[in-house]
Amino acid sequence: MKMKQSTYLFFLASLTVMAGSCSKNFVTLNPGGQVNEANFYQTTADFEEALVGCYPPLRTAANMAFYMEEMRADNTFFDYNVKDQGGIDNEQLAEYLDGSDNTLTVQLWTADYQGIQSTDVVLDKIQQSPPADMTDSEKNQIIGQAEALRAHYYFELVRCFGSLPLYLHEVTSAQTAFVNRSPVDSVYDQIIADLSDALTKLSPPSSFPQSGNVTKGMVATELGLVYLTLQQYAQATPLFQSVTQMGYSLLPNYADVFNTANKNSTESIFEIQYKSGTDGQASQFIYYWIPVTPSTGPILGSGSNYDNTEGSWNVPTQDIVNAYYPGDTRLDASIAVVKGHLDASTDFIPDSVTSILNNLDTAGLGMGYTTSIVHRFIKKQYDPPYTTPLIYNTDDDWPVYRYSDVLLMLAESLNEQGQPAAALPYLNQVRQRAGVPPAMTTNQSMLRDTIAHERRVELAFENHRWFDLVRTGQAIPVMTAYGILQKAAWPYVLPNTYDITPNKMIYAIPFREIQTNPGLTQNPGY
Amino acid sequence: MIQASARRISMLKRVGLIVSCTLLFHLASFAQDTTAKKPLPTRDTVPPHPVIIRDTVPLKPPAAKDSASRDTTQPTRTPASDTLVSDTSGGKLEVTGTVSLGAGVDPSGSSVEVKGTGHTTPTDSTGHYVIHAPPYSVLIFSHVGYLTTEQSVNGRTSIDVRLGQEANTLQQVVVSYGKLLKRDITAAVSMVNSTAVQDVTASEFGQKLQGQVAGLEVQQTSGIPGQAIVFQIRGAASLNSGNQPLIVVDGQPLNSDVTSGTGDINLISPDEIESYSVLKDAAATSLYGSRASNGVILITTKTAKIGQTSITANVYYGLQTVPMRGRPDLMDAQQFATFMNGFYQDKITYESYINPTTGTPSIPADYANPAQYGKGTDWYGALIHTAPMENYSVNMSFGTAKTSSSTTMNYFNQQGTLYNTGMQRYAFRSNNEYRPIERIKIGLNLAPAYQIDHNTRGGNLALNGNRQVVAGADLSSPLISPWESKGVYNLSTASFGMYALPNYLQQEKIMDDNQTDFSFLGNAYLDVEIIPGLHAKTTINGDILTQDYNAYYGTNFGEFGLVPPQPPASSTAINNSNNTYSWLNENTLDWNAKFGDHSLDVLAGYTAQKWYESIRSITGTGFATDATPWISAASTTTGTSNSSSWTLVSALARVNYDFKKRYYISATIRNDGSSRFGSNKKYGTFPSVSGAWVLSDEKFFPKWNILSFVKFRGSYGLTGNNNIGNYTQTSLLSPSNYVLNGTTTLGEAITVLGNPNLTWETSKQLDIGGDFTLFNGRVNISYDYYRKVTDGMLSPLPIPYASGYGTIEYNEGTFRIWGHDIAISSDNIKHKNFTWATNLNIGFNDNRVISLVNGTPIGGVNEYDDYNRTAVGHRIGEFYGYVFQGLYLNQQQFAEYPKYATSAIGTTRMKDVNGDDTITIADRTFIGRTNPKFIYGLTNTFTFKNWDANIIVAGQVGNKIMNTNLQNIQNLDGIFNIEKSMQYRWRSEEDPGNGKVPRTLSNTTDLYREVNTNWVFNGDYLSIKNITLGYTFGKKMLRYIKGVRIYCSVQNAFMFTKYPGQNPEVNDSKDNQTQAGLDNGSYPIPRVVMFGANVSFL
Repeated sequence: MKMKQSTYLFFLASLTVMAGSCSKNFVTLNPGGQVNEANFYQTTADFEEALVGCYPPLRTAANMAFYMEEMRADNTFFDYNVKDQGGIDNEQLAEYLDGSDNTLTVQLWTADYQGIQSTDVVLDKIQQSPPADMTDSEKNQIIGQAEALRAHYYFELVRCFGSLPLYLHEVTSAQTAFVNRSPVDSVYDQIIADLSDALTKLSPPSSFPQSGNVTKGMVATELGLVYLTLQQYAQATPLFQSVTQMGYSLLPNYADVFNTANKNSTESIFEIQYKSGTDGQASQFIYYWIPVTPSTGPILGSGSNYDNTEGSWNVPTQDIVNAYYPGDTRLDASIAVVKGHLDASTDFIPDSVTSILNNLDTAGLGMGYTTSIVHRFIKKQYDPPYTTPLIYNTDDDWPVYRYSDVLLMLAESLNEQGQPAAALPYLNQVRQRAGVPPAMTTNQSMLRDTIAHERRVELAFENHRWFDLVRTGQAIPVMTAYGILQKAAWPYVLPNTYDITPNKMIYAIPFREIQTNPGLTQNPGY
Repeated sequence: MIQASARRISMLKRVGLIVSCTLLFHLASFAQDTTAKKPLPTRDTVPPHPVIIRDTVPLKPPAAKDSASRDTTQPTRTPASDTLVSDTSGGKLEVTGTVSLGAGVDPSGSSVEVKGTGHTTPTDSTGHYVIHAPPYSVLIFSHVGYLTTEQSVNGRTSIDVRLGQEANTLQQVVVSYGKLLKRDITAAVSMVNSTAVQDVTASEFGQKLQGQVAGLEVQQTSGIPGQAIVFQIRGAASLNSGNQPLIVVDGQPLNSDVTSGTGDINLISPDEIESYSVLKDAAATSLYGSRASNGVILITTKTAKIGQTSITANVYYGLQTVPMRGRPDLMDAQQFATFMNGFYQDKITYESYINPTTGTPSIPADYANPAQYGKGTDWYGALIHTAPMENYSVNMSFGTAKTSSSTTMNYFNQQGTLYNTGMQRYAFRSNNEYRPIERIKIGLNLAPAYQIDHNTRGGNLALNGNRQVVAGADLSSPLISPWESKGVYNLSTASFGMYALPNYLQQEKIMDDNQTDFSFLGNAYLDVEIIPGLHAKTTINGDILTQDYNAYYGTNFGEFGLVPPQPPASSTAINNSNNTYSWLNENTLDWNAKFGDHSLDVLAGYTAQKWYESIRSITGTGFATDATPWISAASTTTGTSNSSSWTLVSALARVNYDFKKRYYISATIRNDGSSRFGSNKKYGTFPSVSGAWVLSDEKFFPKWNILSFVKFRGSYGLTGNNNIGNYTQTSLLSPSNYVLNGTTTLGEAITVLGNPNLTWETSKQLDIGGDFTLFNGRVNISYDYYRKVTDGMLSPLPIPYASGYGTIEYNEGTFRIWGHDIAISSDNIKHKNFTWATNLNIGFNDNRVISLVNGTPIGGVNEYDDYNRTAVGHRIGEFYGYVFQGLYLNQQQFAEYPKYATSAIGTTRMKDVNGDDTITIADRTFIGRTNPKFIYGLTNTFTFKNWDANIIVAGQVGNKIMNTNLQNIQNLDGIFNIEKSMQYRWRSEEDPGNGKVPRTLSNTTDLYREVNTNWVFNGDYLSIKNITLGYTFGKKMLRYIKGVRIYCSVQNAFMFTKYPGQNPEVNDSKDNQTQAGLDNGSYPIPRVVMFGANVSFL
């Protein structure tokens, strides 16, 4: 027994010593199932993956942008959904009732800033510790794309929210997470600096269809638009002119531009990439456009009837239908009409999709208020039949910049510089493709209106309308007049809607941001 | 003795033991030599001594001073005559007799000792004993919890004694790493014996503790069988890092996740448990170091007493019903049709409404003639039924000098009051201790449990919560019957113009969602008493948990907004499973010694623990038929797996010292190293010090019966909390893939910002208290004041979204928590045939946020689903919302008051809190505390002859509850069934209703559905938790039946509260104090009427 005691104590003592000596390793654990900072950013391949990781926030932002940049303006509205007011924040964006607690604006803000943070991480880490195996051209590609994306995110933010907190370095701690707003000028300086540097590092697309990466063409286009927004036409013009030398061209048929078979075509300057399937890369825009219905089959043409609860947003207005020229091929390519009936529980059941050309003047589109069973929807992301057995799973990309946009911006830039005659060929290239007679006027003011109108119909539903109205100073008069019509047309549009003041040119800083960072100031009027 | 010790030491030296041990032995032997008496026996040390007969007891009669109790008429015997009486044991008498503890109390485990010899024998299960003792010796009769009684033998061969119950202060209490007499405790500890709460029906042991302990708040947050109990010791100690106390079963800390109910703690059968100790202050808990800041509940499972041979069976069967009180006050069919009729009338008047089925401005047919309807369907009532609950358990205990074994087998089955829900548990526990030779104990405890949760785990169709089964059914149209025809469900429950709602009764009945849990707790130990008073103990604990969850959502699946049938392509099956194991090795040395008036107990130990989990999740979609609900039949399958682990190493030490059992001082320290923190912050040290003074033992203290015992206690110490996820010190990347060149291309982005400086959350706690015994020991009072300051609370710190992240795990700010615990127990009446005892406890508790990083508040920043805010100067998680002031009743008021973006005449008028003359989200403010001012419990126990009765009351005062379900059942868009009071809405300036319910005008109703003071209710309640009436039959009814008690009881008998909802203990977030006090429409709490029997065999 005494033997046992000693053996036991020896065992105990050695166990204690043993445990003590290995305890430091024992309590050091890293996740086995997740990439972490400690084991990443080591190789060129790691950085290339990190660069890819800077693109997906484009998609998150795109899901909010059509409300904030298109439905805010006169091209689209929504079909009032009497049964589900869960979308009231979306509606309030269209009616100028939105406040700092709007649940959409904060998502765009967050998505763009996530993109910015991802680019900051790449740019900081590649400078601090570039991998040994990385060549200069690889490094330029990564830096150039990251800078361009960072500028792109800031450019959307500054146009939506005004002056911004500028996060130019990786956030590594709570201390570096709180940044106050910089003036709009500083934000634009940063955007111009990033795009200018990216311009020197990137190349035009080497072949078509393009990869989907940021190219020199995208950078030049965006920098040109930045200058256009700042009304610095002299800087803008050569950038747009350079794009015309990069191998881009208009597709012969306007409708083909939006066909999923023609992704990243010669007309595409930059588009947000999607792919249907189960790996999380799919888009779902068409489900937002078509009506709320328990039965999507007759519209989307797939074998399955899905219950679409997300729809009836961004619905083309009578105003935009009227804006197309007679014989304009873009109307039928941009807007479709669905006819149907109401079931016993007043849900819309579609019967067939038909052309807008036979339904140009469909009065009363609201659900639940009339017996009308005709609904318009955007056709640009409509590619039936949808054969995937999954709901909210489509293949359509989102166009950001198209070559026709560059041509119209070049025309605008030249006209603003007093060269209307030089502007006309670029404008008419776009009109000709649409089947619209060429513009002839060389009156600068008239041509300015013509170009603006051309942009509206050529780029309808591509998130340009609201920013164009704001940068050309047309937002208040155009939207005030439109608001009067809206209130007359829809009984549920309240009297205090469409109160459009200069404060409404930008959105409120999200409430959570103001509450979280006491150093942030709110935009006036919110 | 000295020689014996010396021999021992030299022996040890010969085998080459390490030097430090030798030092300990020297100390020990010194102590042994100077110890006149053995230390007070603890339960562990009571009688395992084998019979050793020593010749140190005089065979002569004792000295005269001992003879007072002697029967003086008896002739003085000589040693020779003793021998004549009985010589079988070398000059000793064979003394037999019975030890009794009073009516109905199991006397097994009592012991009889020949004074001064150490010769001890246990009684059998009937209290009978046989001992050989010298004729003039003295026998000591003892039983834990009872007064030790001495009897002189005086030649008698038969001695029966009845032991009186010990004073409260001499009860043994389980504390961290040991046991102490209540008198010797310097910390704030409360103990509950399971027998005191044996009649409380419980799927989780926590239900039994409701109202039992001052400062322990036990809330049944919903009626979901087996998953609803949430604990808080002394209020919220943490933000959202977990407020659950550490649960330690027989020394083995358990992993728990009360939020999802997936930990081990709800797998413990309450029938296995012998006692609960609730450790409240730092002195009591700091030996558990980094996990102890929320307090500790020590569970001791049943073990066999020496001499015990018993088989007991406990059986009960009960019926559960949902009380009428607290059901939502919804419109019946006629009321709803009337409301909807008016709704469309107003639409026609104000909004040019055209009825789409007629094309004219007319009332829809469903509502045109409300008088045709009666009560219609009560959807809430349709979901529930009377459900049985049953429990069967058998305990077998055998204890001898060498082995003790206790085995409990339990089957518990609770069907839910919601159809097609319930849980079953098979639990087994076997606790065994072997004492092969003197001073060695080997223990082996095994406890497997298997549990089946049927349809209570949530998934896509949860029972609880916003628009889930219970709350969702409230919204269904009372105009529609659950049945289209006999046996055929109506698929939709929406009347004209209503939101798409499935038939929740159908959904409930076709639900296919099951989880099985298999857990295995195992525990082995070796305890060696190296020399008297010095114990070395090694334990190995293992904890294995396997969970398997399967659910299928077929073509008939529906939920809020989704009415069946669904296309087969959407059918989904889910299988989630995980394996968790955890091992813990603890090595302790415990040295107990007494030098004259000085007592010393020194404990030192080293422990290491590892927890590991691997998880799998598989989803299959697209099923040709509902007949094959397994993923093998799916057309598309996706799956993932992952693992995680944490480790903890610790060194701990404790010194307890007392002088004359009058002055006590104790110090503890624990050093923990945790894998959860950054490389330079892994280790934390948690010391505590405490002291006590038994004033009533001072010479100057008068010997009062009115106040016989006075003890003051004080403690101060540090405890920690490491309740955060694993790996939070490192930034984590997640796949962030994108399409390039038409193919999915791998991308990575940081999604979780790490904090390498993350470290312990530390609480500094002061506790001052006292224990008092009054009125001849009939009243015991215990009081504690505590004040806890928590620094660096672990919490996700909200950071601006502009940083690219939403939060960073952080040691947030400083909080102060304070309160008072008062416990009073009183034997009001102690008559032979009638007793009445009362236990009352009250816990006051409050907290304040002293500072937060950057002053950034937590919560209250989003338009929807964000109801609480934690901000500096306020309590943790106060409700945050608009202040409802009524309506803009007329044009004049509309012009006069500040307006919201969508305001119109007749709409909701909120208070302009910030005075900027407009109503925005910035006008939200603090609108109610979620923590009660105090909680209380009151237990009254009566016995009358063979009858016993017990009434347990529990309650709380001062908190508010937010009924967030009102955003649905006060919805004015005509899409849900709603509360009856909604009929008194504003319809015109001439017909403004009750002035509190706004109009139904389109686009204006949203503000009424945002968080506001209308949803906040007083949470005070008094609940009669349990009433029991029992009857114990006399002994020896049948040959092998020792005793039978039958009883009936009513659980959740009555609820007195002004809270209109069903359950004032509701808390949807369960454990997250930053989102406390929300009632989102929860699974109803049943009232249980049950009958049971306790039977003892042998």
